[in-house]
This record gives sequence, C-alpha cells and structure tokens, in this order.
Amino acid sequence: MKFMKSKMFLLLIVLAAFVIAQSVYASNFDKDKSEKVKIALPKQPEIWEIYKTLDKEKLQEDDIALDAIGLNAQQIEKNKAEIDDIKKNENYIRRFPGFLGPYAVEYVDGINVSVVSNSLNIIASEGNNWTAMGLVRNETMSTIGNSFVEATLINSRGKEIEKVTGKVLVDEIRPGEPAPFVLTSSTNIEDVITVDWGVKAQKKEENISRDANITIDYELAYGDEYYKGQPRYDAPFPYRLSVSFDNLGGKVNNVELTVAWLTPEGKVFWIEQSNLDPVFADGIGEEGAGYFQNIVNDDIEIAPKLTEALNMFWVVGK
Amino acid sequence: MKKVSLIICAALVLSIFCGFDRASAAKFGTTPLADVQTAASANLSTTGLTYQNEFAAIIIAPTYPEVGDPDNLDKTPIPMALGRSDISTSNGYKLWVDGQTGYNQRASSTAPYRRVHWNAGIGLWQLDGSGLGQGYSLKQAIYTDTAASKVAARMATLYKNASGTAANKRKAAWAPWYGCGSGGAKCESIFQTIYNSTTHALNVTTNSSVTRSGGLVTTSCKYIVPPGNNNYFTCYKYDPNNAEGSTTDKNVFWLNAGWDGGTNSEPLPKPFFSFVESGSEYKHWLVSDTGYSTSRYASWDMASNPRGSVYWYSISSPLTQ
Repeated sequence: MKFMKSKMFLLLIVLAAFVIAQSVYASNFDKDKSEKVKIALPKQPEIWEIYKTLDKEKLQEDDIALDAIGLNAQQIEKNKAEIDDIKKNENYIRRFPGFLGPYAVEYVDGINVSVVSNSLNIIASEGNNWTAMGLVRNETMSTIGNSFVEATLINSRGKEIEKVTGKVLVDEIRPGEPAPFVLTSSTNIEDVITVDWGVKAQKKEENISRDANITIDYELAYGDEYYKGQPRYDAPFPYRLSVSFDNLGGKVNNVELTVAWLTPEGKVFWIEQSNLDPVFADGIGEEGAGYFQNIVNDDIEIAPKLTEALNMFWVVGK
Repeated sequence: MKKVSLIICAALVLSIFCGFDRASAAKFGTTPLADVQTAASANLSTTGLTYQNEFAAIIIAPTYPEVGDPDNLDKTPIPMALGRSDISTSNGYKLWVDGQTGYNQRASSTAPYRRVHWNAGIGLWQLDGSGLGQGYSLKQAIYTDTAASKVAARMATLYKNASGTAANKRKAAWAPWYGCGSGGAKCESIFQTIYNSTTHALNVTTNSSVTRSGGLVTTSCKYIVPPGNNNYFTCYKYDPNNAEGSTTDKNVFWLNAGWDGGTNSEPLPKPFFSFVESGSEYKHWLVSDTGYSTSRYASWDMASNPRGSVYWYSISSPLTQ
C-alpha cells in the first residue's frame, strides 16, 4: 500500500513536470473581482487592415468623434464608463481573431484555468449517465495549449465514484478566452452528489494559428422553407450554418471550426466541429480566405433549439 | 440583301437559344455598376483573372437572388434592401425593440414600437454585422462604392484560394450567399447570362434611376443635450418609401412582405436616422416619423454580431434635426 502511494506520488510529480498543471475547484468560481488583473485580449484588426483594398480614409470619415456631437467632457467620460461597465460583463459578445462570442473577459485571476460555472450544463445522457458540457477559461497570464478537464464524481457518502477526463476542444487558449469541453461518464446521474473540478493545461504548441477573422455567412432555421422569399434548396430544411474566415496570419493547411450553442441561461447545450471545405485542399495562404463545410442538423430534438440559441465560435489553424 | 437577312435571322435565333434575350434584360444601377467595376479592378490581381468584367459579373450575381429576383433579372437590385428573414433568434433577440420583450410581442398586432426594428442584413449583398458586414455602418453597407469594395475583396481571396476549375472558384466566391443556390447554381446561371465570355462584355442594361445611395438621404442631426448644443453632424435618413427603383424593381420579397412583419418576415423599420460615433452605430426613430408615443434609439458595437449586441435605450431619443 505504501509502495502504491509512493508510486502514485511519483506519477503525480511526472505529470506535474509534463504539464503546467493547474487544478481549479468550484470555490474559485466566484473569486472577488477586486483581486483580478486586467489583461489585453487579442486585438481585432480594423476592417481596412483585413481587406487591404478598402479606402481607410473614406470609412473613417463616417465615424464621428464624441466631442464633435456636442457632448461635454463630463458626459464623454460618463459614456466611456458605461461602455467599460458593459464590457466587464462576461455575457458581452466579443470578436477577436479566432474567437466570436460571450464569456471572454479582460479581468482574470492571473493563476488558474477555470471551469466557467455559468456555462456548466450537467445532463443525463443515454442510460441516465452523468454528462457535462461547458467552458473552461484561461485565467492565467499566458497562452496555453491542449487542456484537459477532470471531474471527480462523488456520491452521498462523500466517496469518489468515478473520475472522468475530457479534452478541451480548442487546442490553444489565450488569456481571458473561454473554450468548450464535453465529459461523459458511466455513472448514473442520480448517484452524483458533488463534483470536484480540475483543469490541466499543456504548453502552447508552435504550429497553431488563431489568426482568423470569423464571419458568419448565414444561419438558417430548422423547418424554414424559404430564404428571402425564395424556396430553400435543402429540403427537408435542416438547421444550416455557414461560417467563413479571413486568414490574418501565415499559411494554414488544416483549419478547424468549433461552435458551441448556449441555453438562454448561458449554459452550453450543444457543440459541433467542422473542417475546411474540400475546395481548399491546398490550404489557405497569407491574406487568403476560406470557409468551412456547413454545419447541418436535422435532429428533431436539437435542431429547433439551435435556431433559437446564442452561439460562440472558435477557429484553430495548423 | 438576302444574305444579310439570313445573318440577322441566324443571330436572332442564336441569341434566343444562347439566352442573350435574358442577358439584355438584366438591369443594374448605373453608378452601382461603375462602383462594382472599380472594385473589380482594384481586386482583380488577387483573383488571377484577366478581365475586369468577368470579376464584375461574379460580384453582381448574388445581388439578384439576395435582394432582387433571380428569375427576373430585369428588376434592378435596390441598394436600400434590408434583410427580413431573421425570424429565428440565433445569436440573440437584440434586433427586436427592447430585445426579448419586442421579440415576444412580435406576433401581436398591437405590439408597441413593432417597426422600431434593427435589420441585420443590409444592401445589395446583404452585408450582415455577424459576417462580412462587421464594422460597416448602414450607410457603408448601402452605398454601392463601399459595399462593392468589401465584397470584391472577400470574393477575390476566396476565388484565389479555391482549387479546381474557374467554375469551382466562382462557386467558392459565392459560397457565403445562400441565395446563390445549391453549389452556386443560381449565381452560375446568372453569371452566364450577364457575362459574355467571348467578347468579355457585361450583358447588363444600366438603370440611372438607381443611384449609389439607393435613396438613403444625407442630412444633419444634433443632440438636444446639453441645453444650447448647436453641434450639427452628418447623419443618414433611411425611409423605405424613398427606396429607388421602379414599381417593377420593387416587386420583391423584402418590399412586398407586410411592413409590420409577421410569421415569415421581420418588420421593415419606420424611417430612422443613422450615424456612427466612436465605433458604434446609432439608430434613432423620432416620433415625427414613427407616430409612436416616444422617440426610441439603439446602438450597436460594430465589431460584434448585432443579434446579441444591439443596445436599446429606455430613455427617449435626444436627437433632433
């Protein structure tokens, strides 16, 4: 027994050396905001930086400065403060290279990779087994690579009944950025009373690019027979989502899209992934653009919900 | 003489069988077409194409199924077009006045402020803030010079990166527009109609009554606060009644569906004023235009998807003319 313990200890040390291990528990969810530090989320380029043939001056001419409309300095400060307050909320929808959606924050604890409590959705999957979908968020000050969520399921007697691990579906997460995961267990959901959460993150890999400006082309509702007054061509009219992107970095050969859908309460209830359309078999070059294979869903239980749900997007290129 | 008649006759027969009768009927605004050609020229080198008109035809093709009529190309696409198919609420309720409140009341004929509505798809190419319309104001998405520039830039990069034949590359350039049909078939048919690959000419009749602005009016606005403020600034008035184009041109879904909206269409907004201030777009609906009891306004962070990021103000609009 003692040998087993020391072996476990050794294994833990090896694991710790292999990963930048950061275990996070539910108690960290609501850490006092005053202890948080401000980080700079990746900067979304201006549109004339993305589409270089646009006339920057002409576009800028249309943007009026606050003081030009006659507001005084005090009102300008008030307006700025209001906007800053809105942006502090984790529900604020942000767009920056490789990401579009809520739950990205500018204030982090500077230490952990956390499970985002408001995004967590515990459901009973087939066989009534405990299943979890949700988001982790990189609250550290540096970019992390592959990450793994670990949930220790505990029963009413305080005994561990199962430990489940799942890979976070985005291979690189910047500070302040969320990313989705799914965990499935073989434990009956009714036996689980409490869960201890942990997240382990590896170092960022060098061959990954998040330099993609994500654009949603169209999102068609399940069951809608018409598109702008014209009959749809894809009977029996599934939910259909088309996403494209502008490549803001160097050439990428494989690009993956991950989409998560949220309940009105902000909990993740569906996740899908898609790859580049085969027409881009040669990859996407610098300053190029591409699109993903449509995400199509005709599940009568799920598809109508996708139509009504807020969604979030990640693009990872290699 | 007989020979000449025969040639004319043969040409006529050919033109009918080659679809040139449909080609001559295709219409597009005069300045909008010039804007498309300018945009095509500016981005031609990216595509690797030789002929500016070929790329211009690729750029024009989606406008017919998106805001015109793909089966009647003689209807000039109208730049003031607004998308009205956002009936589902993917990405949020914020297009509807007061968000979810307005969405929940949409089915009621007595819903207050129902035509105070933020339509996400704008202009000939239905530039949408969630997609290619990010960072573009109402004016920039309607004005055909700015709109065509952005569309051309994106289409050029898609065309360049796609592998395969020219037809495959065109299909890729059109992929972001569902209206182009399965595999881009609808836009391919339109392209074949409006572009003569032998002469490299556009088979498009220009319509000078549809201009770059499409009927969006440039005017001046000011805030009534602080008291005494006299700083006028440029703003734009959108009024669906001012949309340019003939009665035939206006016989299209976005103008024909009931303006109050319904189960299959969003409302078409009452006249409103629009301008951009520090990266956010503002739209103000004044009592004098809407007839509603209060002037309303909303703003959109132009970097975000408007469906989740339009902010509706509860206080009355402080704007005046």
